[in-house]
Amino acid sequence: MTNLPDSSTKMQSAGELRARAWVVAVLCAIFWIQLADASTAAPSEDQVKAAFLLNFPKYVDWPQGSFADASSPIVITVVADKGVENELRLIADGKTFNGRPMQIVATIEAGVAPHIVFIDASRNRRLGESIRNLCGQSVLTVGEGDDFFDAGGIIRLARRDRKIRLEIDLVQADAAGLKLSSKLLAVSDVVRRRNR
Amino acid sequence: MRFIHNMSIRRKQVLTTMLASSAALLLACASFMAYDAHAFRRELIARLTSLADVVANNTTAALDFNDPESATETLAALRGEPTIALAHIHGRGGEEFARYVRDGATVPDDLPEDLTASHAFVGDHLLLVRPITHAGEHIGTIDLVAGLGELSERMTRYFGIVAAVFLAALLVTLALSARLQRLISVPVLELARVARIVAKDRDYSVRARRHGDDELGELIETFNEMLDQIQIRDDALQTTRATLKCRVEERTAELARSLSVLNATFDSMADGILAVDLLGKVVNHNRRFLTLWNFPDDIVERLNGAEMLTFAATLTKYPDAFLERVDAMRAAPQCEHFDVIELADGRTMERTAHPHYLGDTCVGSVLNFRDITERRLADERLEMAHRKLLQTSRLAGMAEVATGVLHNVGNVLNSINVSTTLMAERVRTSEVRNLARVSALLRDHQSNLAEFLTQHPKGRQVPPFLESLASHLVTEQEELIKELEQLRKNVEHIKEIVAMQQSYAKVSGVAETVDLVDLVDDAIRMNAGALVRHEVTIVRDYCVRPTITVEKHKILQILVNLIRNAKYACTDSDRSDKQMIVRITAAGSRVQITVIDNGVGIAAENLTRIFAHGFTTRTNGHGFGLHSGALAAREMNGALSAHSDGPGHGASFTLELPFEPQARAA
Repeated sequence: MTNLPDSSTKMQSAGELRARAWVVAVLCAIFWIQLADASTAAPSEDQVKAAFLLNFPKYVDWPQGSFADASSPIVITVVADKGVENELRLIADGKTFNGRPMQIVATIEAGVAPHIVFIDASRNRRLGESIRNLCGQSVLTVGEGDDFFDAGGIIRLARRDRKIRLEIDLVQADAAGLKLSSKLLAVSDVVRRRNR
Repeated sequence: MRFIHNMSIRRKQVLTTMLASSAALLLACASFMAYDAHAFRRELIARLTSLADVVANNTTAALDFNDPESATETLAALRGEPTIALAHIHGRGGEEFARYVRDGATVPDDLPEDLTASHAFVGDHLLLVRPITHAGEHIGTIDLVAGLGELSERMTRYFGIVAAVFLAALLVTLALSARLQRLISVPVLELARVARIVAKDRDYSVRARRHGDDELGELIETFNEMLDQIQIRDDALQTTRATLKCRVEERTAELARSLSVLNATFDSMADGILAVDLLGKVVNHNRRFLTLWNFPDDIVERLNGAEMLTFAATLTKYPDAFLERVDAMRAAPQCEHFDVIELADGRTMERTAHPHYLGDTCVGSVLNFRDITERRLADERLEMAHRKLLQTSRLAGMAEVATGVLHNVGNVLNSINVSTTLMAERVRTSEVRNLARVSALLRDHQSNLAEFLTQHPKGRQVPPFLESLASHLVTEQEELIKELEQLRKNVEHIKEIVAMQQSYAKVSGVAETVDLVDLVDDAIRMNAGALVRHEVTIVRDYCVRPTITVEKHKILQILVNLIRNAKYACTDSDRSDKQMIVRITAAGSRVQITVIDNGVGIAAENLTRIFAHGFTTRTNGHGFGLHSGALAAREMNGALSAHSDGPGHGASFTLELPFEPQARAA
């Protein structure tokens, strides 16, 4: 081996370099397309849940006095792992409904009455306690799990055929003073109707 | 379009009515259908839009909570609207969320993927897109595709109706116009029929029947009136024609008469007349023309202009010049030409060419030939006579001059006679004889001369006698010398007069510079005897004393003449104070010698004639003196003029001459 660089070797190495750059560029492009595809493909479960949570205010009427004033935020409390909360924060950012901004909080704090509470299935151990704490308040409780209604929840997100389906307990909703839109009911399964 | 023009008026009328009504009907139907189609589409859009909005409103929750089944169910409600073939609901990302397809519906493949407008007609489909919003949020879109089968069905139906109505209307129009066209066509055809009769048979008595009071009725009325007028005119024309024929015959006869007179006149003219056109062709001629040029018979028969000209040229003395002038005449036919032709046989002909105008155009020339041989000969004779007369008058003038000369010579001789008589008397009575006596006395006393001269009383008178005798003789001698000088002058004058006579005979003389006063004095002196005899006082009024360069004797002759005339005028007047003023004046570069008398004067009518040749008022005058005087004055660049205030007022004659003013003191 000599220390003197061979001009022809140098030329070759330059050509190789260019070929490699091409390969990298093509790979990058394919990967990017894949990424883009992933983003436009079927949304994740967390994303769906977040979107549902953000849509509920359109179909729910809270009783008077639930908001301090006309521009008070709609407070959504997510008692769950960070996946749903993050997605929610992402899509709710800057969004308003009837002039009210969305406020996402992670825990139920005393003094601040949330309007929607999402309780994750993983927290089911303390589910009853959590919901009971909210009884008597106009809070739309959204949750998962088979015993959600038993605990006093209003809307359950049920997984069915790889899709999420809404189930509503109208008696609980009435008890919370919430009016649910018929449109919402049209796309949901009502598990319990109030007695007339 | 040609066949329409040739169609009968009935068919034309029916056709036009049908065409007009069909056009109106078609236009009405077409606009109605167009409006209906437009209204149908608008209504369809409105209906589908509201339908789409209802569906959209009912699918918001399905979209929000991802429930395509619910949305599909809602879409299925569109079944109630049979025009809708296809419907889609898309999510907010554009992905298809739910779909409705009508059973058996055919959907065009070429629908646009994304529609910017809210609706579009693609082929026979309407594509409508509406947004789905909920609570101010765009959550998706709904699109509907509706078939337009209903519209085309509707249009087909309308077409059927239109066709049926159109046909029915045509039939009704046909029936109506076939009946109504008679209103117009019948009178028109009637008019045409009558017009045809008039044109074909020239029968102006037929009349068209009138059907009503409309324009056609008026037309027929006017046509009938026109026929009336034509009939009247036709009658008048027939009458006029007959009269005209008669008059033409009369006029023709008249014309023939005039023509024969004209021709006779033309032929009997003393001048030869030839009319030619611009090409030299003979148009007309008279008999005299032929005889004047002695044309032979064959040339006369052919009457060829060129031939005649050639022949005529041979008769002339100078044929080339003759032909040249003919060419010049032909080159300018619009001008008048005059020419004298000398013939070889001694005749002379005068030719005048006048242009011949037809309106404003020159079409030829009329040539007039006149035999002027006689006239020329007469002219020549006259000229000769005149010349002879002139000669005679000159001789007469010379006789006059000779008379004057002899008269003058006589006058001078008279003076000479007086002089010589005087001298003879003087010599006869001369003291010379006393001298002889003294000398005889002295010879007797020759012996004692001294004693005789001192002692003898007679002798003592001798010296003073001799002394007085000597002085006397000297005086006498002086007088004689003076007289002799006068005599010499007179003889000289006679010489001059004779010489003048000779110069007159020669009519020319030599100019010499003379003192005008001397000349005037000489002239007076030449008449002095007569003037004294007739007791005419001469007044000399010489304002200037010029010298002039003249033919002295011509002036003298004129002056003598003037003075003698004045003397005659004075003598004839029988007045006692006969007076003549001779005045010399100068003005500018000319000098005037004026002879003024107070004699009989001259009548105004004669003043202009006195210088004429042969004019005289005296019984024995020649009428030559003043005439020749005036001529002579003019020869010397001068002038002779006369002035008189009339009979009894005297006269003045002025001879004016040019001179170089070398004025001496007068």
